[in-house]
Amino acid sequence: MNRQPAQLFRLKKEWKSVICWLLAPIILTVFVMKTFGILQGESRVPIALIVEDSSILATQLAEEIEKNEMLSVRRLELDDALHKLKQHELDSVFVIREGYGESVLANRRYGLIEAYFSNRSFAYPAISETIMSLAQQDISRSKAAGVIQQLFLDYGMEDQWDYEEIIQKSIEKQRKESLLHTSFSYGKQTGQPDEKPMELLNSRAVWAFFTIIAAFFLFDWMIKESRPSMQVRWLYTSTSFKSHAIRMLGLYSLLTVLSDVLALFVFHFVLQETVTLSFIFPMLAFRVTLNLFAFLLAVVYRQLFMYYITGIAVALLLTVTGGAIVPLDALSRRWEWVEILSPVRSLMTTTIPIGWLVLLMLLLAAWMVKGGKRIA
Amino acid sequence: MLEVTGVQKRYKRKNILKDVSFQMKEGEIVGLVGENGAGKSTLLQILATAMEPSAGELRLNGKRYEDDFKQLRQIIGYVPQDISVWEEYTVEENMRFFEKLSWKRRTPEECRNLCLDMQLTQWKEPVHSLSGGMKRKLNLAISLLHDPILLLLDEPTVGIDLKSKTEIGNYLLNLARKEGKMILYTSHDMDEITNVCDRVYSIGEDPFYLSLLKERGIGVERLS
Repeated sequence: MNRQPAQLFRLKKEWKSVICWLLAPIILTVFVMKTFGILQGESRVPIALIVEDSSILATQLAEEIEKNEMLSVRRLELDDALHKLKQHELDSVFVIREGYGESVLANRRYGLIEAYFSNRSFAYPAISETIMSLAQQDISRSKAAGVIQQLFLDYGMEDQWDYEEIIQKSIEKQRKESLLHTSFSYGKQTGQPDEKPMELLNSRAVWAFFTIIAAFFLFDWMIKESRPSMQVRWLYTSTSFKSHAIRMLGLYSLLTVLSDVLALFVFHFVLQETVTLSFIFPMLAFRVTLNLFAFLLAVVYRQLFMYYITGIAVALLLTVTGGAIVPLDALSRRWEWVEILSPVRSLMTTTIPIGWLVLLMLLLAAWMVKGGKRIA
Repeated sequence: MLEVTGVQKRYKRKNILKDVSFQMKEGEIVGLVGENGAGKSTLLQILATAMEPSAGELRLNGKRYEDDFKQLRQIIGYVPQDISVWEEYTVEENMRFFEKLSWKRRTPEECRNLCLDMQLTQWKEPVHSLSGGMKRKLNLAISLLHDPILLLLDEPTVGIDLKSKTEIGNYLLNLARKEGKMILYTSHDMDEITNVCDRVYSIGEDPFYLSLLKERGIGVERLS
């Protein structure tokens, strides 16, 4: 008889659903993030940008405008852009005119950028202000460079900085010192506030949500294998039911870790996320926590349906309290333990949920060594 | 040899079994009859090490149950009243699954022959599609995988047709006669008891079964 372990029987029988539940969180995360990305793209204000000037300053300004996350910038010919504006396909049109670079260097501020808008250009005032502020930044920087150079001349200093050097230094300084950065703090709040930009939808959070649900569907074997009518069979086997269950737990955990490796590749190559070693260990800890949790709950439950419902409820609870789907700042400020209690929070903040791991390990040990009646 | 001496079982201040004593030898098939709730299944579960007695002593082949019941399980086969098989697996998968977990290694042919000996031929069929009789046969076949010397059957033929009953009865007779297994068997079917068992014990207060078997000329002894 082939020496395939007994633990593989259920896996062989249910391999299709196992693969489905292993891959579902990855596929659904990609689907949600891509869909959300498309929706977010569609919600950007469409504008056209015509760059007539070929100077570095004009190119830099165009790039700065394109970086704005609220704008969907299209490079078009002027005629084409105006036609689209008439058709209301664009909110407004901006032209960086010929001689922009020269004018900035000469500190001439008139007629640098030309703008067109229609009666339906609802975002025009805000966009024009944004673009003008960027141009103003160039002009100010240029003016400052001129003043510095003049000072060098006036005082006959030996060091001569050229214009480009001063501009680059200024940009570097701005980035380094975060000159335009503003942060808010509250009366009773102490320490540095978290300055990370708020994300409406985080791919790790979405993955965590689907992974929690999938774990409950993956670990339903525990309920199937521990059905009361079968318990008596385990009295007359060389391996106890608990040993069998622990081996099954190991086997399914291995499969889930393999699916997590795949998830990391997908995060990196499909969702363009940065995957570092500092994320891999928290992810592994999250997986171990989740598997133990799903396994130990299955020990308690007898009905599959109730177990699945609990899985969905737990997924919602842990992701929401972990501040994953909707950032619950007010909640976490008031009750910090709410976030600490959620292993999803640990995943988001790339920490190890030590409390959860220790508790679940102790519960597993208690279940394994627990005495009981002869039938156990 | 199975020796049961003064076994009692109390549950919630109620005496389920009162001072049960009997013996069984190799190659014997012993019937156990009694009304519902008389304690037949309780006695079988105690003998199967699935339940502890409140008092009394049990020995199998000279070894006391109290000393190492886990060791004794290797030579005890218990066929519960409820069908304990994986409904979602095929007959083959059920047999192979429990063979993996058994103390005794069996080849695929041996596993299959075990089923064929009982006329269980649907080797590749999923259990949920089998008739009640076939499921009962599989229930019995799994219990025999580790080749026990004491076989305890709790109403193994309840709810199945006469043909399957006869096939199971013949198979049990064969096991006792050729392989010297001790078989303790509970049933409400007097024809089955009459045809298969060498001796019969009655359990419980009701004298119905005693008189019924005496009418049929079967020697019956009261246990508890």
